[in-house]
Amino acid sequence: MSQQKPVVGESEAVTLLLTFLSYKVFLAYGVFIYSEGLNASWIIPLINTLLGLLGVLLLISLLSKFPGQDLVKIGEVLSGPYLNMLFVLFYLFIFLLSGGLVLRLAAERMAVGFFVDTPISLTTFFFIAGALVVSYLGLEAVARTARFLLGILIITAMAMVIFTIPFWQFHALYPLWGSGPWGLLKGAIKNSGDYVQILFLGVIYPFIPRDRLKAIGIKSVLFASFFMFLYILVPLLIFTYPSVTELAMPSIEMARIINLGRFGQRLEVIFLPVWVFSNLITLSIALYASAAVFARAFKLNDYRPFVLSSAVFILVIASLPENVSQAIYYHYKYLTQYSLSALALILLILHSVAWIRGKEESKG
Amino acid sequence: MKQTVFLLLVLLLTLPLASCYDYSEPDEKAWVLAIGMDKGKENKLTVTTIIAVPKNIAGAGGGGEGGGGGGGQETFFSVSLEVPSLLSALELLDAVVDRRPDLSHTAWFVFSRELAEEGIEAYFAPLARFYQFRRSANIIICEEQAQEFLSRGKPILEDNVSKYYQLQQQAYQYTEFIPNDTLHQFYIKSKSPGVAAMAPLAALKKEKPINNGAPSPRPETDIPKGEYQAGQLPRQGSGEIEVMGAAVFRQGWMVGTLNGDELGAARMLEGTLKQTIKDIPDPAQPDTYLIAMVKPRQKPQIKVDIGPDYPQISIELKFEGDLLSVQSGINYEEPHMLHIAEQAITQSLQEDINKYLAKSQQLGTDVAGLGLSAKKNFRTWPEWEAYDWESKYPLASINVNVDYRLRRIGLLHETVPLR
Repeated sequence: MSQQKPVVGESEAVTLLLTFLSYKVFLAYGVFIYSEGLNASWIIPLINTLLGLLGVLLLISLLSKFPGQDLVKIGEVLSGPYLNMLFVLFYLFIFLLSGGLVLRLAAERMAVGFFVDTPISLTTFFFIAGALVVSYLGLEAVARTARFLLGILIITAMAMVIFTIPFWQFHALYPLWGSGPWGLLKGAIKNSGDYVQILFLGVIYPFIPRDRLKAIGIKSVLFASFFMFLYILVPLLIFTYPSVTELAMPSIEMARIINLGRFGQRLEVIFLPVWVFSNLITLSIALYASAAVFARAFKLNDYRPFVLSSAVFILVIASLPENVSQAIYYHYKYLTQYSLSALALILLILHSVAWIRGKEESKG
Repeated sequence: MKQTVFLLLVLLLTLPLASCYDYSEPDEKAWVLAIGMDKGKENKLTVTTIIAVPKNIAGAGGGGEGGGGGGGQETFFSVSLEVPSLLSALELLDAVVDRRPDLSHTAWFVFSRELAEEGIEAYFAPLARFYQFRRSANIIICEEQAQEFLSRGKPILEDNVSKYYQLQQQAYQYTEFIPNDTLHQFYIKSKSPGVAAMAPLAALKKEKPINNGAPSPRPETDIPKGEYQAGQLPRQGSGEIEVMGAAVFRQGWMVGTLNGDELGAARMLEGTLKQTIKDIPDPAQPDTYLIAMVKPRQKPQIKVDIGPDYPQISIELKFEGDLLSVQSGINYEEPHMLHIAEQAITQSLQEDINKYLAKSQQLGTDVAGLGLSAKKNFRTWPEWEAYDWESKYPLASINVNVDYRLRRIGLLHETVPLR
C-alpha cells in the first residue's frame, strides 16, 4: 500500500467489489446450489444476500471505528502481531485461492468450448500476464480498468439474459419450495462464502472516501446479489430442474442456446470478451489484494515487490487441481462453503477486543 | 535500449494473436450437417454422416437433375461407418475424409425407429456434453434405416442441405403436424417428471404412388388429412423425405407414434401451436367442408386436482380464426349463422383432443405436459417426485372445454350460389 490518500471513488470501489463478488456467475456458479435448492435454488441467492449484508455491515462497523486503516493494521492493533498473523493468513488464503481458481476455471472454460487445441498452460499464461501488468500498475489502474469495462460487462450480461427469454419455462419454478425451507436454508448457509470477497473492502478502505464506506459496502453486495440471483434463476428457467444440475458452467450453456433465427446463432463468441474481461479484472484484484496484504503484513509501504510472488502463488494454486471437476470442487469446498462464517468469526473477535478495550478505556 | 526491448516484447506478444494452436480454415473442414444412427451390422452402431460439398453449394444455380442442388452436382455426400459409439465415428471419418470433420453445424440427429424402440439414452447423452453439438439441432426419428433416409433425402428447392433440414423442421410454425421440439426440449423433457419427450417422425415417401397409379373408387368416408403420419402420405412428387407426426418416448424408449391430428391436439394442450387449418364437415351438408384457420386465443388453462387415487384435470382451450372456405355455399358468414360454424369447429377440435388424450393415456406418455400443471399442487420437489405422475397419468380423469370464435370471414361477406 504505497499510497495513503483516497484515490478510488465511490463508483470505482463499488465496481471493484461488484466484479470481485460476482466473477463466479461467468464460471461454475450454481453447480452446487442447484443440488441444494433443487428447483427453488433461486431462493438461495436471496437468503445469501442477507448473509452477505450482515457480513459487510460487520466489516463496515469495524472499519469505521478505525478511520483510514486497513483490516490488517486494525487486526494488529487489536489482537497483536501473532494472532493477527493467523488472520492475515486467512485473508491471503481467500485472495490467493480466489485468484488461483478463477485463473484455472477461466482457462478451463476457454479449453472446453473455444480454444480446444490450445494448451491450457498457454491460456493460463496470457491470463496471468494481463492481470500482472494491471495489478502492478496499482489499485488506481485496476479500479479505472474495471470502471471503464463495467458498462460493457453489465450490458452484455443482461443481453445474455434477455436473449434467452424465449426459452424460459415458468413451470420450472414449481413446486415453489424446492428442497423445502430447511433444505433452502441449509443450502444458503453452505453457499454463504459466495460473499467472502467483501474482505477486499477491508484492504481498500484507506483509499476510498471514508464517509461513503457504508454505501459502497451495501451497494456492492446488493448489485452482486442481483447478478448472482439472475444467473441462478435464468439457467433454472431455461434448462429446468433436474437437467440444470448437469451443467458444469451454466453461463456458457446460456450463451450457446441463444437462437435468434437462422443467422442469430453461435453468439457465445460475442460474450467471450465479457467473460475474459470479468475474469481478468477479478484476477488483477486478487493479485493486488494478495500483494497488498503481504506488504502490510511485512510492514512495507510498497506492495509491488509482492505482485510477482503473488502471481507465482496464484499460478501454483491454479495448477493444483488435477482436472476441472476438482477445480470446481475446490472452489466450493474452500471458498463457497463456510468461508464467510470464518471471516465473520474473525470480525467478531476483533469487535469483541475493540469493545473490551473501549470499556477498559472508559473505566480508566 | 529499454524502450527497444519493451517494443520488441510487445511485438512478440502480438504474434500469438494470430492463434497458433486453434487456427482453422473453414475450407479445411468437412462440415457434418446431419448424423444418422442405426443398429449396427458389424458393430454396435451404423453412424451415417452427411457432409456438405461447399464448392457445389457455392457454384450451384444452374438447372439439372443432380441430387441435392442445382448445377447437376451433389451438394453433399454420405459416409456410413460401423462403430461402437457416436463419437467414434468422428475419429474414423478422418480415415476417409481429407478435411477435418466438424460437427458444430449438425442440424439433424436421425435415429432409426428400430434403434429408438430399443432406447436412445446412451446415444443422445453425448449430444449435450460434446462442445461441437448444439441444443438447437433436432432429433428426428425415421421409419426406415437412417442411412438410407439421409442418403436419399435430397433437397429440391435448396442448394444447401443444412438450410433444407432447418427449414423443413421450422414448418412447425405453420402446421400442427410437426412438433417444435429441438434437442434442447427433447433432452430436458426426457429428464423431467411430469412430461414425456417427443421427436418429429419422418420417413421416405412410399415406393408406390397413390393406389399404384391405377384409378380406384374413392373410400366411402373421407380420410381427414391429419390421420396420416410420415411414410403414409398419399402423394406424388416432391422430395423423398416427409416429416409428419411424432415419435413419443418414455424413459428414453420410443413407445409409439402420434399422427398429425393427435400431434396437433398435443400441441394445443401444450400451448405451442401457432396456427393450423381445419377441414370440418359442414353441419348442414356433411359431404362438404367448412375450412377454417385455427389460432390459439390464449394460453391453455389447465387445473389439476390431486385426488386420493387419481388426478382430475380440467382444461379450458380458447381459439379463434378465420373462415377460409364454405364448400356448401351456405351463408355462414351472416352473424346469426356464424355460431353454427363455430360450434362445428369447436366440436371437431374437442373430438381431436379427446382422441389424443385417450391415446396418450393408453401409451402412458404425457407429451402435452399436463403434469407440469400438476406440480403446482405440491409444496416441495420430493413430494412431487413421490407422487409419481407417470403412474397416475393413465388413470387421470380429464375434462376438456374448447371455445372457438370466428373473427374474420375472408374477402367475401356472403356466397351467391352457382346458376
